[in-house]
Amino acid sequence: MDTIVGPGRLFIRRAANVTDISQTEREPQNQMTSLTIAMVGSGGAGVVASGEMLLRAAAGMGLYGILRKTFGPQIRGGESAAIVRLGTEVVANLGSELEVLLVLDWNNFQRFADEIPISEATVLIQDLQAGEHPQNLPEPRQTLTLDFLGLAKSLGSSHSNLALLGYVADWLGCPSDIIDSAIRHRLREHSQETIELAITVALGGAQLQQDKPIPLQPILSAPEKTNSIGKRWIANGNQLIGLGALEAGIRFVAAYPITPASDVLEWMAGEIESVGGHLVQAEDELAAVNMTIGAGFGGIPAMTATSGPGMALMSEAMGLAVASETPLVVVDVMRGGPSTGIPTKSEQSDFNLAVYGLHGDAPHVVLSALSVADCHFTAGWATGIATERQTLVVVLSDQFLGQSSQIMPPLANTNFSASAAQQLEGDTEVDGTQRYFRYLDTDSGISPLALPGQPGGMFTADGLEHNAAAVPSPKAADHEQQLAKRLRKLDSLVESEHWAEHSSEQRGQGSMLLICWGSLYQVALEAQDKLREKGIDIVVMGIRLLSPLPLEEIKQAMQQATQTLVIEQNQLGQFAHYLRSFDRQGQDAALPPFHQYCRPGPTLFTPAEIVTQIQALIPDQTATEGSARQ
Amino acid sequence: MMLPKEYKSGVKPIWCPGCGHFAVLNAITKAFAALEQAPENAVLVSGIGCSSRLPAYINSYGFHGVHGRALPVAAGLKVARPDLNVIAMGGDGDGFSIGGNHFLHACRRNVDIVYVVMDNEVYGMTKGQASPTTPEHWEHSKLTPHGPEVRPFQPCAIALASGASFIARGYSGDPNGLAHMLFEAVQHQGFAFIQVLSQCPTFCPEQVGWKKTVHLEDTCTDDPVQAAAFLHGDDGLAKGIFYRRPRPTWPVQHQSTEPVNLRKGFEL
Repeated sequence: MDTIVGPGRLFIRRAANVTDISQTEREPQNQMTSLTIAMVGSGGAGVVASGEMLLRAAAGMGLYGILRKTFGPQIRGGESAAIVRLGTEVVANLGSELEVLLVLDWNNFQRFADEIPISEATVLIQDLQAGEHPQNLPEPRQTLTLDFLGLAKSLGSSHSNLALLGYVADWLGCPSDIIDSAIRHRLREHSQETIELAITVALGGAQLQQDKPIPLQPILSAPEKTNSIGKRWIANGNQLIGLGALEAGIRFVAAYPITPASDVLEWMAGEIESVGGHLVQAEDELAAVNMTIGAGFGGIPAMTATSGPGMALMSEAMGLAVASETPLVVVDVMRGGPSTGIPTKSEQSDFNLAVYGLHGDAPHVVLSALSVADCHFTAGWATGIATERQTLVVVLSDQFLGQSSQIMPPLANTNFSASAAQQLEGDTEVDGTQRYFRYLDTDSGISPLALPGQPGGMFTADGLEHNAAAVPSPKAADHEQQLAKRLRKLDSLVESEHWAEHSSEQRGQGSMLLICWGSLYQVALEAQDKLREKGIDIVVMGIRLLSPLPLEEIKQAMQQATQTLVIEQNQLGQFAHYLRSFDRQGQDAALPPFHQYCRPGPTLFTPAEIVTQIQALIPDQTATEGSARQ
Repeated sequence: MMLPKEYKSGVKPIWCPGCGHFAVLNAITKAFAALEQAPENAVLVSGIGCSSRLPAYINSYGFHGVHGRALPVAAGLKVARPDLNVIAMGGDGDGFSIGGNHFLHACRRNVDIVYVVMDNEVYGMTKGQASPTTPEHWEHSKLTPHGPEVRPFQPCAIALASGASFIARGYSGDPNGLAHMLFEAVQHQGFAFIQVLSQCPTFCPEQVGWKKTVHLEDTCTDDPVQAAAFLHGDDGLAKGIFYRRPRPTWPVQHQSTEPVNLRKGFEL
């Protein structure tokens, strides 16, 4: 069935000989039209590289998209997949469905079959050499078996992934010069010969598509190319953490490699010297965080990046940063846990560690990045807060945000750099004419900060409890004063406009409120769109400032809503428990009751899953609209 | 020009009477005076333990961190602020047990800092447990009633094997000699390690006998083979600068890169 396509929209026109058993026609207006393609192979077969090239080619066509790379823990010989979702507007999550699945190798497919949502809407293209089709997979709409490997070999190559790339790019209507340039970019460090052969194989794949097309026809009404080229970025969240941090003034990084945070560090290592900074690969996370604290004490804005196990090792020194009032940014790119867990997959299960993981009474700041692009903003904000308030800021990202590459409009500078520089370039109160009190008990809780090198400001920063003059003290009065000061200096943070993103100005007036944090925010926004099609209005709140929590704002939004659902990607409902804990602070602070939906990774939350959960809470609607497609 | 006593902060040390660390404190003030050290440009960084309290007693900047991590704090500070004179310090438990891994890598990395370990072969602050340098059959701790029954750690030999470029051993009974070593260590370009035999009269009163057994050895060499031969035959009570061989420090200065557009790599 053919469908009229509105201007500037990608639409799927289904081939006439294929029975459409999916949902009713999609209306182009007010709806993101998108298409998801997965490429699967064994580790080292190059499907992830093909995914990267396909994303770049799509960007060259003026489309938006996101690429999720999924790996097993092995470097070679395990399973790997690239899932690319393309659309005519910004695509910030992977959606719920899969239109095309291209398989070079079925070996090990079962290990991540859960993450590849094959359905009766999926067209399956498999290589002749792909091996035995696994049992128990949903029956696809149609299956084509093609000889990609044979094609590559006939052209003198073993890279069937490039034939696959050409095949799918041609189906998308990608002009050959664009795929050519995407290949040249990806293989820019390879020999000319390798590049030319790769292009030949991709062109062979494109010809194959002409001969044996995918039985779905995407019509791409891409925007004028001249408007798009050079005005879009391709970046992943890990790189954008690095960019946001450097732009806000981070000039020292010390870290220890860990999946999936290493590429924060690898990106920064390539850039930080050019802005006059240093990156140290430390001997372990204990060294990394303490080096970072040393640099921060010296007045150089500093950060480290790690994942759950690494942050667990860092947690003692994170308490030191709080007690000594040393600025410190710790980025946790969360993965499945505990212990080694599922290191290559995403989860939101380090919330408790980030919020509660410190020893003693150690108030600190915890932020969550709300999208791939928001990694940039949140890293900048974290840097600003850490330097301005002389404290620890933890940034929670996750494997999905960190390692998914997204096509996006260029990001604005966060402008957090000024506060960082001003605070650390010295404090006029430290002039040596009178005794300097490093930990002076001020109204704001923020004390004048002297930096080594400043005459008159000499003090010993201490993890040992101290008095206002920085002299070690076990006295109850000093302990109470310093604890109160360190808590108080975070108070005004909850007034920041950056504390959350909302899908609506009304913040829940008369609608259901969906509260989430981190990478689930973008999924929830799409769920909101889908619900609107069904006549259900909800408001989505993505919380960026997890600690200290702007409780009054949240309470107000909950009170205005008909009901509230909290969702998160961990087993225990860690955030929901945290939110509930504030309910015990007396009647004034009592929160309305709320629902929670939580489950662990590694499978990503989908918009359809959230729609199902919300519809289950609205019985009347579900009766008339039918159940959501999974 | 400041007098040694002017480098004291006035905070009263918590140490027991007769503690060797007083002599280390005095030696640092003497070395600073000799170096004409501007107090605001020196930072003393320590971990946890009796000796790690020392930074608060010196009129300079200081950082008193967590147990075992003085070296990473000091290295991070020095890399970020190469203009500062950074001296890390602590005890034998802090440096060789909980912080042992950092010791190896600090020797390797050769950041231009000084590391002073006040070695009294015991955990004093937790009331007398065996440390990595405690003699194998020292039976005075309830935690190890038969003695640690483990060979003592050899700090100087391990420093050499790990790549330290300046290795010395001082003695709290000789604060002038120690002040001289500190003076030399600060002047040295690279990681300079000084093990100080610093007696604990409270838990190891037998160390009072060191004043008779510690002996000066004038064996300073730049040959690691010669230094290794000496250190492996050493009774642990020799004092002196044993090894000094400057080598490139970290971070290596790369050719200055042009300021780049950090965002360029993201553009199509």
